[in-house]
Order: sequence, then structure tokens, then C-alpha cells
Amino acid sequence: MDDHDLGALLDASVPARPASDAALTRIHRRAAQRRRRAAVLSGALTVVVVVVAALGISWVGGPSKRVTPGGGTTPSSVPSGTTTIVPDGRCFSGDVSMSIDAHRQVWGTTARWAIVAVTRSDTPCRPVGTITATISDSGHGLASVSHTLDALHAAIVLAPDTPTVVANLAWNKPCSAGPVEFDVTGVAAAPARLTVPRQSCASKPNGGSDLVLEPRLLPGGACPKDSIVLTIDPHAVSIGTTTRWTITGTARTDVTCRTYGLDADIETPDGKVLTGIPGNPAVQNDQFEDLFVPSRREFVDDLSWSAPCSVGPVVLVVHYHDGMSGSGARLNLSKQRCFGILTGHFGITGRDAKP
Amino acid sequence: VTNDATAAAIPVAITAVVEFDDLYREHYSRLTRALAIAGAGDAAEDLAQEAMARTLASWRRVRKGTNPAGYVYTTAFRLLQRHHRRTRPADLTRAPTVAGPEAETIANVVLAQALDTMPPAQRAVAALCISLGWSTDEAAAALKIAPSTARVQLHRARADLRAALGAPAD
Repeated sequence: MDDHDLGALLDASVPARPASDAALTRIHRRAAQRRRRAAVLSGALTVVVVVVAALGISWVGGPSKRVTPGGGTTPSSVPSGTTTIVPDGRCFSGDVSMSIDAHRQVWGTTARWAIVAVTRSDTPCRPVGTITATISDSGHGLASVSHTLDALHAAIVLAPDTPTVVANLAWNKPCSAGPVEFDVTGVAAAPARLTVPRQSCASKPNGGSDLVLEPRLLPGGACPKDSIVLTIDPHAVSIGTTTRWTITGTARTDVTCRTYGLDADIETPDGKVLTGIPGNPAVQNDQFEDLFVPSRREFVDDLSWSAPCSVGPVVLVVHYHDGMSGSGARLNLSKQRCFGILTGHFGITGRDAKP
Repeated sequence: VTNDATAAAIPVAITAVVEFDDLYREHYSRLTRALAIAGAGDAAEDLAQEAMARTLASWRRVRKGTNPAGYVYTTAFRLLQRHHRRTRPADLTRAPTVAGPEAETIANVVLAQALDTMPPAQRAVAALCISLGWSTDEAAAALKIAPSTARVQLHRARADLRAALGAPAD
């Protein structure tokens, strides 16, 4: 008795389930569940990577204060001539389609349009490449900017069939004579186009010079321009001869982000910085230590003025370096009475434990 | 279960699988039977469906490979190995191998009893090599065991089954 005969007897000894349509339906349902689970796990992995980066843990060990958005692993290279997709590897441009979200977000004077990518591949992948955006006004090119999604930003992972923001087209003080056309190329094989209505000019036309292609804001990354609203609490606290005003900030972002580089000074009502006050202007020494949870008012720092003394009304002004992260805040103060001490000092002081 | 490379080396008799549904219709029934012979018991259909679902979830990649069917079988048998590891031996012996009343010939009954006395690895080799006609090297690759181990298991399985049927040994 050879194996063939033995196999036939074995096959006859056990049942075989028919290939029914019901079983096929269950298989399709299970496969869909697996794809969804893979997408969720991929997203969770991305969050873990970003959180680890936000906590300042470098991949080779040792603390790092400054947060690098999107600290991820280098995407796996894909050999030419093969179409195998490495899970979480580089996206193939042919599988990716890109679009520009017509919904405009405005923070401060900056308008933003999200650039969205979606992959048709079976596995999550990372969009790596240079995105170039061009805006033209009635056929006339206004500006062209580009941004490279490199390994640094590889924390952006496209889950299969899930539209994901990969970058933002940010236009500060948008202004145009007529409708504006956006063209975005890169990452995907086909360009994305969007025509937006005339951008009314609140200020002088800037010809698109303030167009910026921003990387997508990742959790723990630097808060984008104009995203933080600063306020100075008018209710000062006096301890001894020192008066303190609390600065708070609120993020208008969708994810937690960080800031650095706060400046503060005491000015006259007409904008002249009172350099005669020791410590004025003051600079914050924090390095990405201020963490902002979306829509929650967060403590930033205190303005501290010991023995405040002025010959007239003054203004406390705080703002981020070069307007990054957000516009500034001002607080008008009446004349500060001098009590015979003219050696007061102004500064930005944090607290022992920041949130 | 990562079995692309293994699947590529297994020449399961399949010509050209164009779509997943074709693969399903051609192999689902054989796969459930092979899993039952290998000792999956009542879990045979569930394991077969899970293997098929995993294949379908990666279908774009798998269909571009050289052997989608080999991928399914390899996935199924590795799932079975994991199933055995997680199932208590007492539970394994409770799963009867015999089919319904229509299949209850004497040969079937003695073969089922012989299978039930075999260890899981031996049953898996018997399913792959005797029922599906794979070589011991192919079975070893699918089961992640040494080829020599697969040859020994196959020899023992043949001997046990022939002894059960009253046939002379080699």
C-alpha cells in the first residue's frame, strides 16, 4: 500500500467542509477586521513613537530636551523591480493619491489648507518625498514652496484607505485679486489641485510671499505659527516688593504641542521699550518645555517685576520669538508707584514644576 | 506567521490563481480536511477560515508571490501548531477524528483511531505528506521543523496507519 492509497483512505476518513458562500463571507469579514486592527495598531505605534520622542528619550539612550517632531525609524528601502510592500515602509507613489482639503482653517492671520494623502496599499506605509506647492492667481504664478517629508517625519504613517494629513499649506495674510489655484505635487503620482475663492485682503497684498508648506503637526511637536493665544492675567500677585503677573496660553491645535522662545518687555504706551529697567527686555530660557493641550489654558511663565516703578503708564508685552507659535499679548498698567527703591528688576520666571 | 519564503518553496498543485475567491473555492475544502487529519478537530474550519482571512488581508502582496496556495496552507498549519500549544492534551484527545455515519467504514474507524494516538507533529506530517502529497522537505519548511525530523515523523505515521489497516510495513 503506497502513500497514494493511504492518502485516499485518510481523506475518506475525515470530513471536508464545503467551500460555501457563507464561509467566504466570514473570511472576507475577518480579513476586513484584520486590516482595521492593523491600521489601529499602526496609529498606536505612531503615537508611542511620538510620545517617546516627546519625553526626550533618544533612540540611542540619553535625555534630549528638544523635541524633534516625528522621530521614527528610517523607512525600509524598497529594491527596484519589485512591488513587495514592507509593512510601514515607504509608500509607492502609484498607490498614493493626494488632495487638498477645501476647508480653510484660520489661526490669527494665517490661513491653512490641509494636504491629505491616502494609500490603496494593503499595509501601512510612510509617505516619503518632497511636496511642492504652487499658488497661481488668474494664471499668474504667485509663489512656489516645497517641503520634504523625510525620515524625520516618517512618523506619519498612511493606513490603508485612511485619508491622513501629511502637510499644511499655510498662507499668512492671504490676499489675491481673484480665485487662487493651488497645485501640490510629490508623494503621490498625480498632483492635487484646488481652486479657492478670492482671498480678501485685510492688509496689503503680499503676492504669496508668505506662503509656507508646513509639516503636519504631530503630537509633541512644535506648535505652528499663530496657534497659541497668549494672555497676561491682570490680577497681579505681590510678594514683598515683587509683583508677578501670570502668562497663560491656549493652543488652537488638534494635538498637544510645545513652544519655546518667549520674550517679554515693559514698554511705554507708544511702544518704546524701557531699557532703563534692569532685565528689560527679558527672554525665556525654556527649551520646548511648555506643553499645550488643545483648548486648555496652560500656565506659561510669570512676569516678575521687583520694586516696580515708572513715571507714567506702562505696557507689559509678551510674544514668541519672531511671532512663532502665536501672536503676543499686552497688558496696560497704570503708573507704578515708587517706594523709594529704584533698583527694581524685570524678568520672566518659571515655577519649580511646570505642568 | 511569516511564511512568504516557505510558501515560495512549496509546489502545491495550483496553476494560476487569479483572484482570492478562486483560491478559496479550489483549496478550502482540501485545507479543512488536511487540518482535520492533522488533529484540528472541531477547530479545523475555524483555522482554515483564519488562514484564508490572513491571506486575504495581505492578498495584494500574496498574489504577487509565486505560491499563494502554499501561503494559505503554511499559515493554516502554523496556526494549528499554535492551537495545539494552547490546547491542553486532555482536550486534544476528546476531539474525534471520525466523520459522519456515512463515512463509518471499518477502515475509516481504524484510521481515525490510529490518528488519534499519534502526537500532533506526526499527524501534521501525515496530513501534509500523505494526504496532500508534499515532500518531507516541504512539510518541514511549513512546520518549521528539521527535514530529518519530518522524515522520521512520516515514517512513523506510515507505519502506524499501515499497522492499523493490517497492511504490511515497508
